Amino acid sequence: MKLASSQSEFSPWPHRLAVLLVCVTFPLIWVGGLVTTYDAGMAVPDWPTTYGYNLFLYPWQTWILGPWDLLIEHGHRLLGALTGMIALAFTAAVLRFDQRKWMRWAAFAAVVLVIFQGLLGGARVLLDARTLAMIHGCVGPLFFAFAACLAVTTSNWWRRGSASENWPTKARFAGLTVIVASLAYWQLILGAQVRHMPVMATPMDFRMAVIFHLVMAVTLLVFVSLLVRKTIRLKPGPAVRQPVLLLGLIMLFQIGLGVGTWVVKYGWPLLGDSYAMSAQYLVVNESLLQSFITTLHVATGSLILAIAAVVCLRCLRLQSLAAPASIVFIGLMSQTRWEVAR
Amino acid sequence: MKLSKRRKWIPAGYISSGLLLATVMVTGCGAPDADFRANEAYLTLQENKVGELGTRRESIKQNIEDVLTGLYGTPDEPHLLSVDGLSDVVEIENLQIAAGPTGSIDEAGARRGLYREHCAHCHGITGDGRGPTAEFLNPYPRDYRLGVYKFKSTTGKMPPTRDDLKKTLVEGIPGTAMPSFRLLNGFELDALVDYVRYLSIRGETERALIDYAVELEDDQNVLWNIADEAQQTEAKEAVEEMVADVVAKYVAAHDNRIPVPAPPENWETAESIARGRELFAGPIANCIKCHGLTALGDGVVNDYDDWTKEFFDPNAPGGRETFAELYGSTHAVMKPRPIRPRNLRMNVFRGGRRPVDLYWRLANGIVGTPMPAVPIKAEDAPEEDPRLVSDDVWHIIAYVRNLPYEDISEPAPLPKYQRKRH
Repeated sequence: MKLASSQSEFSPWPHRLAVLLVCVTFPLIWVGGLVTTYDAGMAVPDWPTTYGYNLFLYPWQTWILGPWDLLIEHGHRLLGALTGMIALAFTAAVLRFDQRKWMRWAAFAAVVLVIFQGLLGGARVLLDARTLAMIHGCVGPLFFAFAACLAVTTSNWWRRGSASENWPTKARFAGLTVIVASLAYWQLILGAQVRHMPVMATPMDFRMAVIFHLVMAVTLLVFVSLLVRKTIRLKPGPAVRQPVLLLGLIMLFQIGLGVGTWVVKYGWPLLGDSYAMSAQYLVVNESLLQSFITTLHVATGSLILAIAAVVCLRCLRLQSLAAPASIVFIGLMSQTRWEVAR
Repeated sequence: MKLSKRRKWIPAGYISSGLLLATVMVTGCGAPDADFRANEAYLTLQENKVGELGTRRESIKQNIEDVLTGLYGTPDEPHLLSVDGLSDVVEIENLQIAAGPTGSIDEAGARRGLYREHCAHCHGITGDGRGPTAEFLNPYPRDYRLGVYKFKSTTGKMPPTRDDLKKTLVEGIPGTAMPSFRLLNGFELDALVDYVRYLSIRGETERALIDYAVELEDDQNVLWNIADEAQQTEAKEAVEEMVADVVAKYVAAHDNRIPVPAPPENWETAESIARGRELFAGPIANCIKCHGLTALGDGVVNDYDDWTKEFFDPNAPGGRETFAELYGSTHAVMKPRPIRPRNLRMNVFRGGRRPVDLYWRLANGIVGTPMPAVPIKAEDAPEEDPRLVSDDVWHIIAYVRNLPYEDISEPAPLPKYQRKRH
């Protein structure tokens, strides 16, 4: 009955707005990466105003035609404000059209998270604290992954609640996706440590951070490969298969970008001057290539986290539908089952 | 059942939280305030020469730090003592642009913090070549504190001119992690050049102060008590004299350029290249000793640069153990790495590819490295003088520039009189 009544109130708007939220958050993360790449974090010294102007009233000609670091920093703030507004619209749509209690709480959590992220950004500027910049850079991708999860939970696929025909209940598939998503976030944090290394750090500090980041990259690659292999072998259905294969491809791409990031910033490692390619390579500071590759590597890290979160959530959903006795998450999944049962 | 399922996740939760915490603890969460680092390694070196300083070491270190702060300021607020010529060598306005936190803005609204933004991650905030990324880079970033630079147009060990440093900034150094900063404005480059010179002058002053301080008697363990007005004048004069000696070299640098005569008329003809080949392998220039018979850089491969050799004697028995004992625990000196002669067949010359750049390298050597100067005599020197004339240097340059086009599998035969040697 509950399902029938919720179907009669069904609106595509929560899902549409969730997808819009995801689509706006990714460029926001990208531009945030550009802010760090170009060291533009303090390009606007005040907050929440911009050089004394209200955020939305800063003269657009000065913004567009002014210095590059002002363009990206103020642009980042405007995009952040837009994201916040879409999050609010999403919450309003959920309150209006979605009867699921936990979904409403999730929508509120999204608004709280985006406001928190905005406050972190403001604190970074007001306190001129690069540590806060690093934390801000870690919370942003978390929000992006959360927005992707909201898009999943508001989707038709979720509402239909169709169990997968041959879901591998005994293969610990869902558990593996949880590990992959956790490792992806851990790797993102390690990357943030490398990128926001303080200038007073010693060579040992940077070395540790880089080694951790490399070891975790290998670990993550191993687990993603396991996941891809299991997906190909066990065929859990397109809702999981497609994002897992995409994750595998993007993971390989990201490893390449990681190598590329090192090369464009510090030259070819290990090859020395025995090869013309490494002997002739000249690093050009803040060149288009250097900025593009570095920022793309940062943005792809967030994308990996979001896809891993989507895979994880879908797997947990299918796991709970296929084998209710083996619930992993109690609150979320059991409520979902309860709704389906009624 | 719910409870037992929940219990399974508890250790996983602890483990992942613990690992995350470990990550943050190992890699750090905060950032100490920017401050210059003392030259601990040089102090240790001098201490080993004069004998243990014991408790005096810390007070000497603090005293020198106070004196340097009084003379040169801090990474956020640089200033200069009014020593003769210092304001010609570095301009305080340039220092103020280059100094300060990254992306900071001064009272007039101009951007500051260029050095910390662009350079400190490799060269370190003190210019000691031990920025965070240093350990991964080969060659290591330059330690400015000796005042020694490889690629310059000045004679002997004179410091480079502003143009020399600006050229390195604009062109970068291919094959290394030193980027080209050609996308910066002219005034930004000038600011960085002066700040690098400032760090060199500061570093050389620190070395002079350490040399002086370690020789003091126990009861003279205060070099200069800035707070003691009565002591100010005499001690201040001694320090100003040290600074003046350091600065004098920078003032004189521009007037001590390597003379570069015009190349001979037949330069880079087949005849010139053949003559160059002969000299390349000959006993005076003897390039093949290090660069190898076929100029692949495979001659002498176990030498070290001067920044390393100051602390590490590769020829002393137990040299590595002594190095590890003295500097290993503090990581005050980067681990010794051999320096390799250039592979001349790559057509990559880190100090510049122009003929004049190559002339400077040959005529003065590459200071700080085992690359020596070619012995050059004046045009009117007697013929018995075995040294080379400048035309000979140009012929060697012609040969070197032609090397990438010379077939390595069939290198041109050495002159007959050379063959026996090898």
